[in-house]
Amino acid sequence: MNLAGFGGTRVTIDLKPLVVPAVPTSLDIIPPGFTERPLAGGGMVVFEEKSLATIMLHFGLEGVPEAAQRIVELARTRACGMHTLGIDDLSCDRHEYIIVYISRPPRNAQTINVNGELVFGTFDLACKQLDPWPKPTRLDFDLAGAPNIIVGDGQFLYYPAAAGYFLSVVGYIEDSGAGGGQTRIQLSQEATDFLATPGDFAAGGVGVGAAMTNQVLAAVTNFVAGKPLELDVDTVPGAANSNSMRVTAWVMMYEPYRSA
Amino acid sequence: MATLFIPTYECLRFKISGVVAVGDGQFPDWAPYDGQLLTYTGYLETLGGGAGTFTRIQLRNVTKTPDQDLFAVRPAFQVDIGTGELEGGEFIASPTVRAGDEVRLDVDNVSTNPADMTVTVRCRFFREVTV
Repeated sequence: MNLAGFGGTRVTIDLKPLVVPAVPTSLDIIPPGFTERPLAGGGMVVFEEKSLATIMLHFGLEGVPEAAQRIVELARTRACGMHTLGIDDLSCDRHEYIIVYISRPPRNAQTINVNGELVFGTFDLACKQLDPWPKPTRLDFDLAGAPNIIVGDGQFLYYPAAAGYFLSVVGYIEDSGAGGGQTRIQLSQEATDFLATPGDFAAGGVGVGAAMTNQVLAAVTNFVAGKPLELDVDTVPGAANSNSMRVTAWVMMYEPYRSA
Repeated sequence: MATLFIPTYECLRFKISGVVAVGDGQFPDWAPYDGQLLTYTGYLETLGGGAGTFTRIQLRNVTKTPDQDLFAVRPAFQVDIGTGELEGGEFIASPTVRAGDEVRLDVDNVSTNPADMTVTVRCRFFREVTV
């Protein structure tokens, strides 16, 4: 993101605006890496690499002496540690605040060129993003059906590492089945149902996909850590031949040490 | 009162169970917040046959009018490479989604009898809160 064209954009550290000339010229967002490996039976496991997303702030222009002033400003005021990086769009009152770890401000960007002249270069300030908690988290409840989905509770279990609450539930079934009716699902934890109105995948025919409809979250959707969240199937189509369902719940997950 | 956007990293996920055939809109997912697509991975469990052939996909935001393709260069599962991993794609210049947008998985080409595909897109979402 080139900040030069954003007249109303302001960058802050710990809510203090970086003042001219100590403002970055641009910033890049470098996402954390991850890899996926298939499991026997068609599943997938995601391995997070041991890295954090980085917001890389770029300062200075080649050969522009103000770079030195920027460095002095940063080195003096921004010790290494955790900080709040703010990106404010003042023109429309939008503010983004990110908890970051700034490892070590650069001390200088001055070098001697081949002619023996003191020149000023550019430098980068790496801000490692620490994800804040509570954190929106995606939970996928996949139910293939073997060969078809049947009625029953607890057909897919997800053991939450932390307490939380539901934000939304969506779903899609690749084969909605035939014979009228629908595949109807509920999400629960022990005796608590999280859908006031269950989700339906209306039977549209063999091999015909369908998005989930009718689902309405309950007024209170809190869940506790350690006890499984369950995917229950309440009904199936008349021909009992639906399969390959995915129900996706977006939940707000608290940090683990505050789990119930 | 101000509106804050708290970034979080999560995924959009797509899958096709069983035989993979050419066709649009084969699996949907919905963006929970405004966000930006960052990286993608994919795995085709049965890569299929046919030297020099490939199974190529597209992701399409069907909420926008008209629909918006999210890959400028469509990635593919190449039979000759043999790993079953999705590669070679490039997102469009601004691959963004709005909260509630429906993104669908299209299959534009197939090798011979591929099966069981998963595609995962790592996104940076912005949770909107008001303080």
